[in-house]
Amino acid sequence: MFALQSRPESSDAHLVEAILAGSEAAFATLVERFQDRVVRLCGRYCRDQVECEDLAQEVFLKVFRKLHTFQGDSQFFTWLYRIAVNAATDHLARASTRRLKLVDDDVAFDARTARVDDPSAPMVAAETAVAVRAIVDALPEKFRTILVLREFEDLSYTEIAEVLQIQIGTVESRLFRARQRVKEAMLRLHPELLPGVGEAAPRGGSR
Amino acid sequence: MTLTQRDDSLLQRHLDGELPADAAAAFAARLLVEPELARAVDAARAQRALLRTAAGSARQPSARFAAGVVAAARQLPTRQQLEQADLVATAIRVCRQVLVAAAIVAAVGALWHAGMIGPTRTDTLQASPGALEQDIHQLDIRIQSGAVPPPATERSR
Repeated sequence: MFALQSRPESSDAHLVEAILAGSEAAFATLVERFQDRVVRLCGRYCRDQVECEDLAQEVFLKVFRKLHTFQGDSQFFTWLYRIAVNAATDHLARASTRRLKLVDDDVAFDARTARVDDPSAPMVAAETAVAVRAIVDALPEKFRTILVLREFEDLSYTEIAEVLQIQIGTVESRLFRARQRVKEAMLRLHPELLPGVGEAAPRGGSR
Repeated sequence: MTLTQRDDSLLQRHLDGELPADAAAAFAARLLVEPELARAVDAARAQRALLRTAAGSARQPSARFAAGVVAAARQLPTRQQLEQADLVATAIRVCRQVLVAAAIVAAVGALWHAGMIGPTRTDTLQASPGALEQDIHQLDIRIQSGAVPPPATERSR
């Protein structure tokens, strides 16, 4: 048994090793270490907190069951993200069969970004967020996922390539196409959100 | 003037922070002298800012989330248990295959023993015409001596 309580700074590799040796404390440490990121990622694909935590739990249990297959040739968190993205897209596929409308209840308003002197700002910000979110949610899954990983989770091209197991060139071109689709949808549905964008960079072709 | 595909790529990588330092510096220098490119960068930056508003306030795990996950994991079989279960399943599968093979062999043996399968009678077909004629002649003698009853067709005549 590994004395992990006394080593909260244990590396991911040590934690994995300890979990494989049967340490429950190591698994608890791992969950605590990554729960924020996994729950945040799952939240991009879920309607509410309960559904989100159910999905995040499913992710951690998959990690627990498959941990012996982790080769250690990539960062642990990209391996974890891969499992989370797969679970989330499976969840989306199941949800789409039930025609769920994803993520409406508490999209959006971050009070820290609101202007205090404009009482209408929170409402406008929330409406904008809902409109943009609807556009992102309507994207095909591969475009949606890559935007989530880049724009919301702030992963680098290399990390995205590892998570999705694609080439960096594919990451770049897929991101470009995803952003192009978002821009086209915004200009079509909410042109007021992108004043002047329609005129700039008019090439707009897809790659 | 429109952006080339290469400029699109540079612009995207510039805003994503994926350009190497020297390429980033060169691109920044171009922005000072190419207003069209600078406008495209501003537009792309505005779009990204808008996209990020959709990120909203990220969800946070509840206080008991980690404990719940660990408790759920505790209900799962351990790796050793899974390996043992795999071993048992393999043993059962092998035993079942051996039993099926033994049953098939036993059934074939029983059928063979009962004469339902195996070589068919070919002694008549393989007999020489002379030996056959001799057999028929001896049978005629035995019929005439009454040792063997004549065939039904003979009796009815």
